[in-house]
Amino acid sequence: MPGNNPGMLTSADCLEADSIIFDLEDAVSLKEKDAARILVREALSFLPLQGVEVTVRVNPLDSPYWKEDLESIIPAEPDGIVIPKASVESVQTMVKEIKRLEEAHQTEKKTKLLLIIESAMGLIDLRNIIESSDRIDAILLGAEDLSSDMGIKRTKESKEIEYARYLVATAARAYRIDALDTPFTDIDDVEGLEADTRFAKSIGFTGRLAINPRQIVTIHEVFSPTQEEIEEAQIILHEAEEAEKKGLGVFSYKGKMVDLPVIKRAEQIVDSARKWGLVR
Amino acid sequence: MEIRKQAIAGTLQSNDCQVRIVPGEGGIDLSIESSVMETFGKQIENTIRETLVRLGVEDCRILVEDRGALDYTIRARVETAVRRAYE
Repeated sequence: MPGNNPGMLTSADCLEADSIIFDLEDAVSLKEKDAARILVREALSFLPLQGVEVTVRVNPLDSPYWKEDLESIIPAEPDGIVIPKASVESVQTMVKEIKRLEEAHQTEKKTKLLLIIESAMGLIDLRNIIESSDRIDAILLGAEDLSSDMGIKRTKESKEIEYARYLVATAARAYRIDALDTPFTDIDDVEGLEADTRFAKSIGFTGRLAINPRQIVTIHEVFSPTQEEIEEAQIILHEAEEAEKKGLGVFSYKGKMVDLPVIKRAEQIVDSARKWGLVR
Repeated sequence: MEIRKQAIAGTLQSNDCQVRIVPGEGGIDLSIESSVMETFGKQIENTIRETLVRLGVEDCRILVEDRGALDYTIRARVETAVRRAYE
């Protein structure tokens, strides 16, 4: 959400997104950087912004703006800071500054980090980047900048970013953090968004960036578990409890073997359903 | 904060306001243009004056053209204009 647009900032918690990014980077022109960071700071302090996680994308470490961004934003206590062009250096440097500001302003929140992986180096150094701070909550794939860094053409079929998608989703799962897929840029193609998001979910992404409010419903529909999946997961968990009482480590359900990985998957589906408000 | 030169902040788009500030000739000379002047004029004025006090501005001429901005937007645009005028 462009950080210098008060009309958009004001509507942030009406969009039914789980998380909102107020942007101080690409969506703000160079001569309005000062105006945007003051506006976002005031918005964070003034707007109720209930029921939605609010994060702020600051400018990258190689820009002259990131420090002033953090100085302005951290005292207003956003839920998280989104770091573009993430690297070990950018995470460590910004965390140091965030901690300094949190202490100086005695903030109550411990600011989370969401990292955008959008360079070839960021991709191959993913493990070190994720291990560089215990505040990292999610990694986000930024396929447009990644394609630019790779010198390759970005296509709607997205074959060229498959490796990056698998890598980001797998690394996030390995560290038990969220993996958010790159935005689908054709905002008029709802069917394309749905198909592409289903693929993202199938390889382990847990959410997706939306670049237009119209995309939110489709993304939610894809990522929330179906009623059939929830019911099956609940039955598996019930059967697992019964099996445990009988001292059985493995049992069968609908002719298929159910062991620990299947039970864990069922637990994830029920947890996800709870998160989406589909079960209590 | 001293107003050293003319500065502008904000836009004339809906939900925003544009603030123009110039060095004053003693005290605060405030003008507001708003379609909701009758209902919210006093509140807008209070927000502008409070922001100027917070920033230590005692001497300026300031014109605010309001397009339905909420308080936080008015505060932000006044602060941006003041900081730009101080640079």
